Amino acid sequence: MLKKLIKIVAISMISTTIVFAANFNAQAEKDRKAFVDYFLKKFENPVANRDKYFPYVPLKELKKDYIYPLKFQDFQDGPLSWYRPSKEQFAEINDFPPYEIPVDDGEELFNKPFANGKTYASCFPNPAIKQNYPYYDVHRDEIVTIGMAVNECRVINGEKPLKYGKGDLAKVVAYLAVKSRGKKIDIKIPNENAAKAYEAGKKLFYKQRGYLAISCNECHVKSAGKRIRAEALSPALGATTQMPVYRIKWGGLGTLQRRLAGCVKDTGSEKPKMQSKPLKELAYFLTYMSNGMKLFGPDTRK
Amino acid sequence: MISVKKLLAIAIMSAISTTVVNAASNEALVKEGRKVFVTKKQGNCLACHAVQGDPSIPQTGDIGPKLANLDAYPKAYLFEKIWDPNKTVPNTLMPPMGRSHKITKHQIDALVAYLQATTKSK
Ligand code: HEC
Ligand code: HEC
Repeated sequence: MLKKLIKIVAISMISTTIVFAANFNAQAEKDRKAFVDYFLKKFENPVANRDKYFPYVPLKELKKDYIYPLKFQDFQDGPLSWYRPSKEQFAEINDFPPYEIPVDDGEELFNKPFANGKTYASCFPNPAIKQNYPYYDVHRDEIVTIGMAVNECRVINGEKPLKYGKGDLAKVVAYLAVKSRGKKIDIKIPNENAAKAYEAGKKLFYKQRGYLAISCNECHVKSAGKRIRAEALSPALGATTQMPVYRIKWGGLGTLQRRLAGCVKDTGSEKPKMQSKPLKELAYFLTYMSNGMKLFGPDTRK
Repeated sequence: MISVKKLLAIAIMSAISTTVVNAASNEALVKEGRKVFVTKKQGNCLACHAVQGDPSIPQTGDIGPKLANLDAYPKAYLFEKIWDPNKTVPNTLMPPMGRSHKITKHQIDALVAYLQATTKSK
């Protein structure tokens, strides 16, 4: 009898722990489902649902220029997912993808021995890892981005860290991205502090900022699928799948954080520093929202 | 002594010239307003709005409605709308460019003049 009782108690304790463990991402999962659902509905049939989602877009343009219905994975194309003129233009540009040379450079850097004779492969024996970044490191109690991982690999091998956001660092990340193509984004929220970091990122995403009092949400959720001047606004769903990107404006590669920092600045706020806590939290949140989507970076952008 | 006739003439002249000056300054205001509308570092309104009656503005966005028939609104309403659009539409995507001091009161007057002169209802 007592034995039975102990067993029940033990089982219920175990299940409570499981429930608790699963709980850290309960809110995030709720958010993510609502997020995905919004985008799938919005891009199911823009012509039929014009009043609800695209009231000011001329019907003619909706019929001619919009690609729909969009399925979950289609959002990997960012601003090209829904806007036919951009999609066609970039399909042409990608006949000879401008990111190809930087990716080759990245591969070379990856395999080139450091002064101590080791290579990046000593840290990344399997380079198909981008789907897990950024991740919350419970021991260090902070978000670790893929750029940080690259630089930490250099430092433990006695090399100087690289400048974040572009250049050689972006090239190595681009090589890792190519190796991770087809892997599904898998961001975890392992403990309470991770859940807090997620919430902080979420807050930044929805916060109206700068003299324009505008938020990421307004441009990349509410206005996703509309144009700001000639630029087709990308849906926030899938926003990180294609990173790093080669931007014609930059004349080179840039990482997710470089892109995010630019958008923060464009809304009239101060440009945040690379690898600063808020920027990492924003990236953590945004990447979590695309969980389950296949990676296919790098890609080309305006 | 100035004759009544002469006085009258002066009065009429000055009345005419005021009108002339007004028309001229309104024209300048309209021109200035258009510039504020299309300049990125000023209003940057074209990012979101096309304008009825001014199809020559290149590459307008479509986040906001095509601005049309705005002469039907009182000037004060339009001023308020541009100064802080959240007052009329609490959750609007349109930024409060007056309230946040991105453009001046004078520039908003110019925008209103431009929009009312250009988007005339038929
Ligand atoms: C005023 C509008 C506006 C706001 C606000 C804004 N962005 Fe952007 N963003 C753009 C435009 C325009 C582009 C280029 C076209 C595109 O890819 O959407 C862009 C591009 C991006 C991209 C690249 C997508 C790709 O596939 O290449 C990301 C990621 C992004 N923004 C994230 C953010 C985040 C996060 C915030 C908030 C900090 C934000 N943006 C705020 C206008 C905005
Ligand atoms: C980021 C997008 C955006 C920008 C930039 C923007 N607007 Fe708007 N505007 C909107 C939206 C969305 C609406 C419709 C909802 C509302 O009334 O607030 C609107 C509505 C308006 C209206 C009311 C139209 C009507 O028929 O009721 C006027 C007038 C207007 N905008 C003028 C301007 C001017 C002038 C500027 C530049 C100083 C500007 N807007 C900049 C998005 C924008």
